[in-house]
Amino acid sequence: MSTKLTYWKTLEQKDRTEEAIAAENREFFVLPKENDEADQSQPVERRDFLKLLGMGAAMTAIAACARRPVEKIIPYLNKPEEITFGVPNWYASTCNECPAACGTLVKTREGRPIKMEGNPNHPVSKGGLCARGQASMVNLYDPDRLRGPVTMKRKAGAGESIEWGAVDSIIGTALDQISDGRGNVRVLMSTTTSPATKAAVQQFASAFRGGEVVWFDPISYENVIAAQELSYGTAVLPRYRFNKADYILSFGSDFLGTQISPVEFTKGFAAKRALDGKKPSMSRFTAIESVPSTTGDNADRRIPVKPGDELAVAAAIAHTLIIQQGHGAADAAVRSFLSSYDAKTVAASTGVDAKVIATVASELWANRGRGIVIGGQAAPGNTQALALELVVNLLNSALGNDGAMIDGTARPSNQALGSYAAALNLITEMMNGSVDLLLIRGVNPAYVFAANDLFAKASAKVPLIISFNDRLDETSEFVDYVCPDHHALESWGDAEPQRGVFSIQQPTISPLFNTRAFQESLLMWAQKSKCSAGALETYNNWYDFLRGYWQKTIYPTTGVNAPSFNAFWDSVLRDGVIVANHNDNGSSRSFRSSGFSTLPAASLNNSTDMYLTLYTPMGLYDGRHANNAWLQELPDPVTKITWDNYVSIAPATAKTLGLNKGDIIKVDTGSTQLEAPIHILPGMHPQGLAIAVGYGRTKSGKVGNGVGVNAFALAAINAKAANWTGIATKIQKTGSNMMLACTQGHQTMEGRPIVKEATFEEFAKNPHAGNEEHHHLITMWDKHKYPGHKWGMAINLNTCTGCSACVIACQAENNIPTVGKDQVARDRVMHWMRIDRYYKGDEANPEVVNQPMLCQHCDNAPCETVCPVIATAHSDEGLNQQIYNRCVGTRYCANNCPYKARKFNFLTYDSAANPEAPLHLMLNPEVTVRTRGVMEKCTFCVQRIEEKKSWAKDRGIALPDGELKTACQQSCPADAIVFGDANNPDSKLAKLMKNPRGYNLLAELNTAPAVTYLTKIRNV
Amino acid sequence: MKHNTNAAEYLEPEPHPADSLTYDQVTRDVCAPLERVPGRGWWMAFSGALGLLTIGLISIYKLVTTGIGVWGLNNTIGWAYDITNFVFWIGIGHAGTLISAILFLFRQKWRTAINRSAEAMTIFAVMTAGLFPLLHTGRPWLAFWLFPYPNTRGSLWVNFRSPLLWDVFAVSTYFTISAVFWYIGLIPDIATVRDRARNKIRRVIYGALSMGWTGSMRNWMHYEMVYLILAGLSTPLVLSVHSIVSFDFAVSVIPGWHTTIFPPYFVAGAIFSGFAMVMTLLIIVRKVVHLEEYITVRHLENMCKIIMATGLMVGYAYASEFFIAWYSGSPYEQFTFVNRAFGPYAWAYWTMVSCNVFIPQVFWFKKMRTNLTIMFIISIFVNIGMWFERFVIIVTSLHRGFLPSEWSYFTPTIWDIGLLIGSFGIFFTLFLLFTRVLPMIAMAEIKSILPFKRKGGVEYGTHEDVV
Amino acid sequence: MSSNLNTKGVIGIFDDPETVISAAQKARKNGWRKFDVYTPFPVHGLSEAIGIPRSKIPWVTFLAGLAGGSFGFMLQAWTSAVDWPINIGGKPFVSWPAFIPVTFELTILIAGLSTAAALFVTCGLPKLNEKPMALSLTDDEFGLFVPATEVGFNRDAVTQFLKEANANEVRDVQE
Repeated sequence: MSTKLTYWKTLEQKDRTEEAIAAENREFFVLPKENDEADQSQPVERRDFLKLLGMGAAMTAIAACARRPVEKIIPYLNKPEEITFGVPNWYASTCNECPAACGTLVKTREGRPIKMEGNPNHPVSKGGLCARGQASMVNLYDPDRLRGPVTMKRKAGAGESIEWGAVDSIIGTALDQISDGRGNVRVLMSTTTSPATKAAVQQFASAFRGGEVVWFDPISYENVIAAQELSYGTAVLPRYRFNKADYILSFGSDFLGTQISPVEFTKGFAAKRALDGKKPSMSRFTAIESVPSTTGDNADRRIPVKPGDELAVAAAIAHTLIIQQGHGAADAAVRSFLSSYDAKTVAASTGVDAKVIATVASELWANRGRGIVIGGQAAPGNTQALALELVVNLLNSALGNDGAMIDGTARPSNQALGSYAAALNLITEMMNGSVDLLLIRGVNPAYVFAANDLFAKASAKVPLIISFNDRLDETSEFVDYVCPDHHALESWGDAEPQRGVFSIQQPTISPLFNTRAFQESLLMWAQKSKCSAGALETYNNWYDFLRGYWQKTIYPTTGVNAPSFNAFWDSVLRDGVIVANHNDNGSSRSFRSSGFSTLPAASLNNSTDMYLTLYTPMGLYDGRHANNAWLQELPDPVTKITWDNYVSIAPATAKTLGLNKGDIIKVDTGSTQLEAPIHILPGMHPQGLAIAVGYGRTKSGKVGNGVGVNAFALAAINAKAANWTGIATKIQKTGSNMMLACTQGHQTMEGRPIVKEATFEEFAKNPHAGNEEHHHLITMWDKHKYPGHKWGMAINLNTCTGCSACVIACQAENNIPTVGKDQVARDRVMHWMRIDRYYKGDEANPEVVNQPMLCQHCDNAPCETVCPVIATAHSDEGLNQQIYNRCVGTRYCANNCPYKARKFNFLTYDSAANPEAPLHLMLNPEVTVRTRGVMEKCTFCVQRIEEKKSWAKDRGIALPDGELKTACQQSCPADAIVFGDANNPDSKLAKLMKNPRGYNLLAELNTAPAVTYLTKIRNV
Repeated sequence: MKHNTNAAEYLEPEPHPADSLTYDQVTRDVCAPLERVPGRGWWMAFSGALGLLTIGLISIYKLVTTGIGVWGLNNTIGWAYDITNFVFWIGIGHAGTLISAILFLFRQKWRTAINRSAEAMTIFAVMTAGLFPLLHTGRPWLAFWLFPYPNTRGSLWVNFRSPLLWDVFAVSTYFTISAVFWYIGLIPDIATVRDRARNKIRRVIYGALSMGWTGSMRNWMHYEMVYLILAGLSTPLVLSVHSIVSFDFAVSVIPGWHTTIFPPYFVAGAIFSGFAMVMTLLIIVRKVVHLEEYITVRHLENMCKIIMATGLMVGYAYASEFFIAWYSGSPYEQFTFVNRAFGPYAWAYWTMVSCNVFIPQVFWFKKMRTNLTIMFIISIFVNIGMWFERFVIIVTSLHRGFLPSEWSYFTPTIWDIGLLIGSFGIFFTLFLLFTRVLPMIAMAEIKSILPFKRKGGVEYGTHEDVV
Repeated sequence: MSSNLNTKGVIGIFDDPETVISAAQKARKNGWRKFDVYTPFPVHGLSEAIGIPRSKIPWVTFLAGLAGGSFGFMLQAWTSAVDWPINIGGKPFVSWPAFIPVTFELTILIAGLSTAAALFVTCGLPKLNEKPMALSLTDDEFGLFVPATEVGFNRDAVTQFLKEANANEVRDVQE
């Protein structure tokens, strides 16, 4: 220090105290270390300071707008670790919204997940994602989720918040008592495909004498698994290889909508119907069903039967093939079972034409080895359903489909474990007072077993019940503690949807609320208590457990030649999925007929009563999505109704009974009565009634409470099974009526050439079939030139199943608000992408077409011409652009749009403009949130276009075809949507535009749309 | 100078104010309502109008603060009551200029008794109409963006290809020229009121409004020329305005809108509805302010004839629309017209046809043409029918468009109805105020068609004879 | 000339148009050129009697209309094609048929406003400070006014002339 000091700043300096000299000798001021009391007195080293400074800047920036998980996770495409502002990071993960466990890529912006997309490298879902998966953002940011653990005073209503530490010690003590002495522990869980979770739960349960895990899904395929066991000796859920099947026969299966793995099935189904090959070929699909479903709507031939008659028709087909025509071996058990189902008798009983039965049988035989017979909508176990599955297995084996088309050996599915029988058994145990601790995860038994307060009564006998559900649901009223689990996007996990296909689930945001992973809770409790829970005890946390499980169990089986486990792990995180089992060709199994002998004597149902069947809705699934406004407002692909469930009834029956749409009827199954509005649904069997489960939640949250009625209560439950279908039911008019919010009021095309179609036979002869008419258009003007890109879209009406994944994908991508039932009923739904569904022919069994409808981006757009303020104009890349800032809201454009693709913000639709926290975190920052009084519509995802253009420009390359995908296209499980550059002659789009099946909708108006539709072809 | 053209000869002898009138009596009679305390009748009417106006203001408040969603519109039917009201009032606003300008050019002297109030009606109807394009926008506070003004937002102009923009120009031009025409007609009369003023305030106000008009013959000469020119300009203008309003529909692609007959059809309809509204008003007003000697039954009878004639034209248009729809071979067009007559809105269609085509046929009978009660009732029917005409055109075309998937139905809410009622409140309030503050009859013009005579003195002969 | 410098002129009030027309005819025969007649309504034949030349305002209308129309079309063409060319509905930048309505409206608007303005200019309106010579002139009487600046003005002669022309009343008009 210089001694020549002349000027002083402080008195200490002037007086040159020791401290002052010391302070001057330090280069920087003292900074206290954050949260480190011990070190508070120590000065910070310069390097530390710089580190802190750097970290602090990064932390503030991130903390300001981001929540990052603590563990290191690696983005899929971008460089790891860093967040570049304005640039999304993508994480490979796994969808957890249903047990199908599709592979996903989660798009995060500044640390917030904002969109889920399918992972194209995932061998099961192959890039598709269904509507429910797309809507999982709403579940993540649901304001009605619990903010932390709650101690419930049973029946006293609301609970009280409690600290995790307190919960842990209370439960630890309770566990000690149980493990010391008596102690039956039960974990009631919905299917998880996660091997690590399964291991953790099993280990936890096995720590107790008599500990058991009870797998239960309200949407269960136990009859399929049971029939597999009876027929082939192994209890597996087979994998259906629709991508190979030339012929499909379904008995009430909704494999394109809700059954098992709909994204995978739709991919495969569509692949056989895309008609994109050189030689025209497509599969033929016959659906025999009692409820018109998304699947049945796509059938070439749909045969309505009354609920419960699927078995008789299946048996009649088997009878024709095996007994009558002598195909395939048939032993005595088979003969005796089939003997009462000859085609004529069945035809007389069910009303299905005997000729049709014969035709289907001969088609099956002609396509033997290349066909799939699939049974059962998610109909839980009863003998009828089991018999149907046995007949299905019999047919598949007799036709040689097993193995090649139906894989029960190489890569069978893990996507359903749940069983009603197990759950009902648990309830019996509870009733008997033999359960001491019940843990509930991912199921809502008080809602599913609401009839006669079954679960409520049983729960009273269990001393301690803990729920891991994410909200105070119907079940939480009967539990002691609710220890809310993370949302899947907040927690680590893995999945093995099919044997040997392992995918990872990464947290993409640190938990929004004071929740804790369910597995972590088990781990904590295992460690806090004296019980010994195997490996659970040896890991610090769930992440370590998961990683350890992969290192020990999965890594060795994959056969991956990685330099280290760490490298393997990193690659899994990056890719999201690893396939351990590359041989996915199943082998055929020998069929055992002994199953038939376990069945009661066959009987045909000739009664003229009404029969009820329950079904799984596309949106709400088993009710878990009830508080998801996107899914509530998703028009049902079949009925186009939102925000309600209803009893579907045949038009003829409605006429006979004098019922109108919305009339409330009393449904009486003998054991349960329920009042619900009716919907007159073409294609219902006159003796059929159908109602969707999943509605009527009373404690799901602000959105879902009181929407519809709980149809689970109508399931016929006995000690072992819950029957969903063929329930004899009486109905009675109540005289009251309610409004159902339907997005499509008119169901026929009025003979207009809107969806053009042809039969496969016609198409094979003439690829222009159904699309012969072309208009000679004259114009005053020269066309504008589009020298660069010229964006366009092609939609294959033959592969579109109407599943509506695109609708929700678009909603997620473009911040589209939900408007609520009242506004939907006023025809103000805001979806930019909608699926128009038209009926043709006989209302008893109509043909159905689906047509995705969006802004057609017309070159000669009628909307643009009439806008007085140029709030809509054409870009030089052919996009019809809407400039929200400039829009004054005359609605003239919407009036003049022949496609009615424009949507007006009639009111301030709160969910987007002013959403309840934390829903606002879900918004895509690339897309403006529209204010009231402004018109909006499909932009062809202009933000994605610009992003990819920049991407290509950064790399100095021309944008490769297929690199750029719109949200709807990305999501489409059927690959029905192709987006691209019409100016690039090699693009898939340019080729499809020249496809003989291609046409522009309402081309005679000379609007010159950029969307090309490809004709629908029916293989009849 | 011979004024009686051939056309006029075919008419019955011209309606004329009573023969006994003198100049000063005209002045006294016409100025009387301005100079006395309003009677009970006027106050009752005015408070009724204010009541309707209040309903309108509440409806506007609700609309602007909450959004277009308070109306019954939806994504299929983007316009209903709003544009129906707009076209309805614009149509009403056509009779004034038509009576003033076209009848002036055709030297129909009977127009002088009714032209002032008809013009006033035009101004107020156009003002009322002008509210709707403003209020129907989702963000009315930004409606000024419809004007092409230089701004600092860069090159940001309006779309001159949009019929809505044509509307902006047509309606504002129409309003401006009509107002100027009206005001110039008022100047000499306001000078008369000024010169009769007993107190200073009136003298100052009417003095300013009259701009110091003295009645100098040198000024009168220019004045008459300007009046003639404005009449000449207004005539194509009045035809253009409703043609352009009809373009809102005619240049669209929507079946039911996209027709070439719309411009003449709309003009005929506008005259039709305008005359009906003038008739409704005058039948009341001549009674309330005692102007029976000026607005005689013969005036009203002439108007009945015009109503009948234009009603038939409108009926012809309805029929030809059906013919063209069939003849065009376009399935969408054909469907739209069948749907109009027999679809969900058949009730509206047949209301329209009955009110506009069938009911006015009673005017074939002279007894009916001269019966004030019948005339009044029929004029109300025509008003209703013409409102429904616009409703039918707008809503029935929109609710069944090209794609059946989006077919819908419009049900009005109380706010739709409130604003419709309120529009009558605005109109009647303005009109009733007008009857109190400005001369309802063009005094100078009436005097000029009176026989030359002294103050109550002996008749000397008409001024034509002198010329 | 004038005997009284404060006198603006002399006015004769007449009861009916016919008398005032003949008075005006005589006045013009006298060689008077600056006199004027004040009437409550335009009396036909009077302007010829006074000898007022035809109004030139139609020219104003014509030129203003021409200017308004050209301005209208140019405005549209310039904004749509030069200053801010945007592809709207696939139409060309100068889609002239669509520009006709606005061109027409602006023609009428500018022509009409200019005509009205021309009236005010030619009549010297507004002239709010001018006192009416007689209140009855906007009601039922007609005044022939001979200004002091009239050719060969002589107060007494003019008064005499007006009386002889059957004026009800003749009086001086003061400044």
